[in-house]
Amino acid sequence: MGNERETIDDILLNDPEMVEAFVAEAKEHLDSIEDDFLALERQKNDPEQALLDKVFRAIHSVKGAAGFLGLSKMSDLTHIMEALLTKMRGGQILPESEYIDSLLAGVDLLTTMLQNIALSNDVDIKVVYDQLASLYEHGPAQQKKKEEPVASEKKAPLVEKSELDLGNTVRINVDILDRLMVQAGELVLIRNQHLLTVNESDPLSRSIAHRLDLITSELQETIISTRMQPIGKVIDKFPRIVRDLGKSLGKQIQIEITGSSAELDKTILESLTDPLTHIIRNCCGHGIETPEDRVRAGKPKTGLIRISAYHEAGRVNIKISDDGRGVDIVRIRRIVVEKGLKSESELEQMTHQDILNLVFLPGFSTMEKADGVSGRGVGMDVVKTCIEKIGGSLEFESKTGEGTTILLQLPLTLAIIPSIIVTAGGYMYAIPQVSLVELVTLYDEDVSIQIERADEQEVYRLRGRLLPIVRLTEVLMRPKLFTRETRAEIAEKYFQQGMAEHTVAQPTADPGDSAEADEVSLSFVVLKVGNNHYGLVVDRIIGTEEIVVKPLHPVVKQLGIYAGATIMGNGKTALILDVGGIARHTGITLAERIMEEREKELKTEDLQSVLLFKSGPKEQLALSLPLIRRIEPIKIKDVELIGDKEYISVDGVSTLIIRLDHLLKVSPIVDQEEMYLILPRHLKRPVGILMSMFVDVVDTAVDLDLSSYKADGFLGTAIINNFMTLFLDIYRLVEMLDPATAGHPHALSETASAGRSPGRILLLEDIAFFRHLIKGYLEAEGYVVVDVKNGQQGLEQLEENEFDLIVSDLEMPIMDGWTFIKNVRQSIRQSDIPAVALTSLDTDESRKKSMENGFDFYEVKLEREHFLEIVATAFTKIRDKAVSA
Amino acid sequence: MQVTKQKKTAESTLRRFCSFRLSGRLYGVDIRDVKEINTEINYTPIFHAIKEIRGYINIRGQIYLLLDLREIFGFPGKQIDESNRVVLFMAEVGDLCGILVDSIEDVVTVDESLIENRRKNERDVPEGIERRAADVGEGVCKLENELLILLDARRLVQAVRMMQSRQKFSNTESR
Repeated sequence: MGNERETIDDILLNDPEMVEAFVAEAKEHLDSIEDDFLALERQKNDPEQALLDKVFRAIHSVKGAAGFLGLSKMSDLTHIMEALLTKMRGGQILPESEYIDSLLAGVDLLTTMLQNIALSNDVDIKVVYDQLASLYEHGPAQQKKKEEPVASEKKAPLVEKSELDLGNTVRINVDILDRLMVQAGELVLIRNQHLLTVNESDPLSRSIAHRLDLITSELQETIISTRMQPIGKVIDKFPRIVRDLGKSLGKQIQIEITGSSAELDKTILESLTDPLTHIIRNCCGHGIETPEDRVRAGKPKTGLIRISAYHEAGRVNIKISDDGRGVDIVRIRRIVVEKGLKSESELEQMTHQDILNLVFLPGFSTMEKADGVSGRGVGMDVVKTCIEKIGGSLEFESKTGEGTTILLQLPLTLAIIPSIIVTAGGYMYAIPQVSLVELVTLYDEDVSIQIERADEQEVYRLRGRLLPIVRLTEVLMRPKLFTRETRAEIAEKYFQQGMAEHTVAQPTADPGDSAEADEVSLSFVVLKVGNNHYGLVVDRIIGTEEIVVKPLHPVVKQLGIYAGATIMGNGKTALILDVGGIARHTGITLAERIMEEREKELKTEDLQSVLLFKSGPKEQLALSLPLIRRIEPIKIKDVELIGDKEYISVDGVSTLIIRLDHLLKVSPIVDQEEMYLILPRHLKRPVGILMSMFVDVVDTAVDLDLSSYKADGFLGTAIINNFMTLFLDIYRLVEMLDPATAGHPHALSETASAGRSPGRILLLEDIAFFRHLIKGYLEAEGYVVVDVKNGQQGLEQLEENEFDLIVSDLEMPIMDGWTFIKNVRQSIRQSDIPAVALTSLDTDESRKKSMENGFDFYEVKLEREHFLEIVATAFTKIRDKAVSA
Repeated sequence: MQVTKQKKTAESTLRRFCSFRLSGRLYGVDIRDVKEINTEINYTPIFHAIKEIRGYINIRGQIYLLLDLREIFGFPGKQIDESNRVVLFMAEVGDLCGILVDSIEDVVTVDESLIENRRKNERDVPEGIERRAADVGEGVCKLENELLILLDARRLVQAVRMMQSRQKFSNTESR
């Protein structure tokens, strides 16, 4: 018996299709047999031979297949039924009620067995079998008495097993459901089109439209639900697999399943069997350790595999975790190198997660030899491909020694998917919501400031993480796979465009947009491919819509950036984007490596964006980008001369033009018809620096050399792109314009240091540029400055040293200015030290918060003069205090 | 006996073609390959696809791939106007697809024996435009006062697929 049980289970495991085919066929045979038996019973004395043949053939077929599949009970039962029918066919017996009753009882039992084929060998057939056997041998006479109890006995289990499933179900070919689905999809479309044409003022028309709308949605949902099947169909098989595998591997493994009632589209469910089985096999084979190993590691002897399925945000998540040994990073590295998939130096630059993800590389398998459990020639890459093919995603996490977790996210259905609709180049595109992480829109200046460049790749810093940016219009226009050069070209193009937009107050192109022209904005959708994210810039985000997915024409399928097509409410065809395909096309997965390096660099050094330009032909000049409001192209003929000063109207404001060669010792500027004006930020007076040539914008770790080129108006020099570059001191430049008001850069320093020891200032500022600048200003005044990069370092400094004044930025990493000052005020030492908040945040809210947290002064970056006055005032107060005390 | 046989031959050799114009010339495709003629030319372009593929059109909820026959033959492009039609093929020709033609003409019935099979003597086919046409051509047939160039719809779709594959390949190579 036990042996037979194994057989059917084995077949179920190895060849579920065959079993399925058998069940379907057997059901078909038994479908009409009841009626046929009853018809025979009615014909009684003159049974129709054709009918007899038919029922005989039906039972005979079931018997053959059941025997082959090792369904012993079914085979026994059909055997005796067949024997009885042979007699009937031969005319030895007539289809009398007694015979028919027993045969029907047999059919009932067969139907029960077919309901759950795996347990068919556990069904008790003895009573019915004996009855049939006795009828076969002795005829009906002796049977009469036994009949009734038989009927009641056999009915009891039948009812409870099948009434729910059988009573109200019809078998429908999936093709019909598919067709219904397509038709419902078209109906949705017609509904959508109809809604657009409805005469809203006519109540009747409106109400009909409303009803049509409702019923269409309901119909669609109902049809979708016909295709839904509980996920248990797949995962409920795993306890058995796990038990058997555990036994053969000498491991103790327990499995916990939750949420097997969560429903998924049949198609998805079917394609889930293999990848899931593979994952489970991996858990058993690679994950869970032997009992001895587990005990040694201080874990319970029995390993645990947890499978949980749950609905979340229109998707089904399946999480499979084990508490085994986890993935051995060292081994992955070794294997990858051995197999030549990656080099040591490549591995050096990878994060933990990256290395984990290497198991998805084709040709990777951590098992040293194929062991029949997990190394069956199917790698994790196949699992991943399977999941992605059905529109799902796979995330993988592992801690050495603690276990592994795999999270699958799957769409509920393939035929209709929730999507986000976007436009690019005037056409609509759908992006499956499964891949969507979030939407981001940048406005005005942020558009050009926040999209940065890391090498050749455009990036956006999303909550401290660098997100590669891909522009959909560019992707669509460029059928060739992106190279480094392509990405560089795009980054450059938009950088220049950003500059131009900055400069153009009135839009030159597209008069239709003029209403929105003041408002420059940039929208992108953050998409995920596995564990990686990227931002896809689109023209407009329209909204979400449930779309009916149509497969791509085979000719177009190879393009790789589309996943399908759909028809929108307006009747237009729209393409569905393949999120992974776009990532591959643009090569951002490759770029990611560089990004990470870049990120590391950014963390360790202080990178800043610097505008490189030329005034005269000789020197390369630089200004920190955060100090620049925008760059305006001007025509020299528009410049007006007032006195000896040149002015030009920018945004209706008369702006003073600074010619650097007039103020500084630089080569004279050569006038061209068209030139550029750099408009600085944070300045009260409208001025613009004339530049003859734009060189570049670079992100660079500026190490200003303050000593080699000490001249008024310069901060210092640095080598950028192999050129000696002069950094301008914009604030000093403005002062130099008007020698009368601030002609003596060291005017204040005398007062500050007069008659007393120089004040000690603790400066907190995370941006290197400002740190240098402010420190420079303060030191020029004679103060002693200690500079740190964040609040944490500030507190450490306060622990060790005495200061007279704190000047602190507010927005800083690790510990911001507010938290810092709060801590200072609550500390034991130097808690009453005066503090100036120096920030680019100019809001009442920030001002209020700063005062509440303990700042004494609030100064907006950055007007040198005013700032120094504040500092001086603060020192005066300190002195007064000292005097009064 | 004789009569029936003759009749039979006549029946089997008569073929009907859906004819249309392209750059002034008269072309035809086997009527059995044609599903319908449609005026819907409002297409959605498919970026990255070769220029021979115009885009997708929506025909009553079904999405058809629209092939540009002018491009396939290397004829100069032409603004779409009222006379333009879309010839949609049966699904077995090559999934859901159709061709954009300048204008549609009658259904022409010709005797098989009058069709000159072009493919037999391909060597004689000139290079360039005509050669490309020959790739998808089935033959030519002299009508009363003009030449009907017969196209094999299946080969047409196949040719476009080949072109697309070739382009995809060359696009991929660069990295």
